[in-house]
Amino acid sequence: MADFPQDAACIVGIGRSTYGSRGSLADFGLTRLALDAIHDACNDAGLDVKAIDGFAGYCDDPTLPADLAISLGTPELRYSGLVWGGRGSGIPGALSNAYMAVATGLADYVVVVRSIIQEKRLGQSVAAGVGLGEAIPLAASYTAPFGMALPAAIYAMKARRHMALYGTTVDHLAAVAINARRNAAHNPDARFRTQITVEEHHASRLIADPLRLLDCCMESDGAAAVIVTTPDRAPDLRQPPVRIRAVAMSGEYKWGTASFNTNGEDFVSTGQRRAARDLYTRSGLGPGDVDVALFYDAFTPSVILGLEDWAFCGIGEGGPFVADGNITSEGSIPVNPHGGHLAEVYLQGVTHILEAVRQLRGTSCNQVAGAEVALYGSGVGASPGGGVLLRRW
Amino acid sequence: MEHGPTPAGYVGNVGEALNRPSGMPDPVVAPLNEGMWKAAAGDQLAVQRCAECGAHRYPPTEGCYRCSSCRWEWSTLPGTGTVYSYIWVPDRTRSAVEGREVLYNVVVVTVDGTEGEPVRVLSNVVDAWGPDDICVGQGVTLAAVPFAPGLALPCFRTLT
Repeated sequence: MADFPQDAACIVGIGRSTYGSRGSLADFGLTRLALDAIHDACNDAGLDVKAIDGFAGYCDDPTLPADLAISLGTPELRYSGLVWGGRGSGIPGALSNAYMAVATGLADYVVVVRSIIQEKRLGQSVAAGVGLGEAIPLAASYTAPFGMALPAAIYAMKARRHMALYGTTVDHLAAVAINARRNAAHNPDARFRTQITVEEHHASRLIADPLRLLDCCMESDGAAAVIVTTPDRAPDLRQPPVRIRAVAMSGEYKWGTASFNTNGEDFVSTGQRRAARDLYTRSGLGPGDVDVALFYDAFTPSVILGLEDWAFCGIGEGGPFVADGNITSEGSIPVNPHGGHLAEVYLQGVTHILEAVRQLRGTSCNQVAGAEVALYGSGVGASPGGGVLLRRW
Repeated sequence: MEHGPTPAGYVGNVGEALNRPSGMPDPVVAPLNEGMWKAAAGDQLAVQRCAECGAHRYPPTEGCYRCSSCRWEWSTLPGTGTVYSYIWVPDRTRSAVEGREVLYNVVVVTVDGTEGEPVRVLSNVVDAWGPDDICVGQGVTLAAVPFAPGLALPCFRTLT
């Protein structure tokens, strides 16, 4: 790889709509929720919304830049880009697009936005986006007929093999969920602020053994946005900017739309080891430099696997690493201090970027003292995923 | 080996019924996959084999992961394999038995007799009914389950 141009873009504004339970914000519509998040982010940055001249989306987001632009009165629409697939794994790709757009001068202020209304219940689907009785796509022919339907099942299948190989336990999974709730107790924006015990975790409803209800996030409605611009423009705005040190998007080997669960060498992982290699190389930073980690955590195994893939512990050591308290706010590598998808809200990664920015501004509800570097790592879900390294101005 | 369709809601004597999730869709039959459903109906496990380099692959794809050729053929395998991973899922469309909810399994099986990187097939072990019945590393063999005339799903049963 050629030398990567580090620190070529900054995040200068973060914003969000109201958050709600599945379907509760359906009357607003995706575009309105996205607009609320963009206005909030521009207000945060002290930026006129008409200065936005680029849009970057992911997860096949149907919220069209043209619809956003007409409601913002965008005078100049210079850039729009969408990352195919990627589900919650796709936000590093959207941030990569924003990064490239401002660094190359294609646009001045690009907003990365994700707007979700969960009208279909993912936990009751027979294939991605397909309800009972509906036609499946060809690619689901090798999974749906066998009952490999729930998103939780993908993580459960990986977790089972991790347990068989390394002795990981359901207590280790519970430790991830307990940490998320413990953090969310201090987050007034979080949907699930009640702390839980390991006994409550084990007593919760079985979803896809070894995963139980408290191993899973809940479908949510809402939108969130971040504004990306260049380091020369950033200091003129209201908030202390956060540098994007480097970005990486990377696909998991042999993950295809037909796979649902990958069948390659890194089955027992988030599929992000290539992204970790690329991101650490490009940034000149390593896991020892990271002060706070934001892992996509729709399901608890994602955190244990992510800690291994991003080299915070050895392969197979993620379970005991979590059980030893390393991921708590006081631990060696605090993970998801806002409560993550498990406890704050499930908006497919973008809210983790908001928390990373708060940490580097020093304004988090669970502030990691002196945080200088924050990592976002994608989960399992589709390809491409990736990662982002942010650092204090 | 003849199997009737999965009896909906029936979870009677182990060994008489097949443990299959109920209410799941049939596969989309297409040129890319028709051969495997037909082979299964004849109690054989067939997966794609690259016509250029001979590497086996699954699930069906247009091109070869090893040499990128788009020329391929169906290859019949022994039908045996080893459980690579598995999960148990509550089947809420089937009534609880003696107060215990009915579970179905989904397994990933590493199948025998392939060339190239390991070939893994996602499926069900139809004679396994609960967590004690499957473990990683366990041997299984093909136990096809018909879904249409002349077409069947490549499911498995345990090897003792």
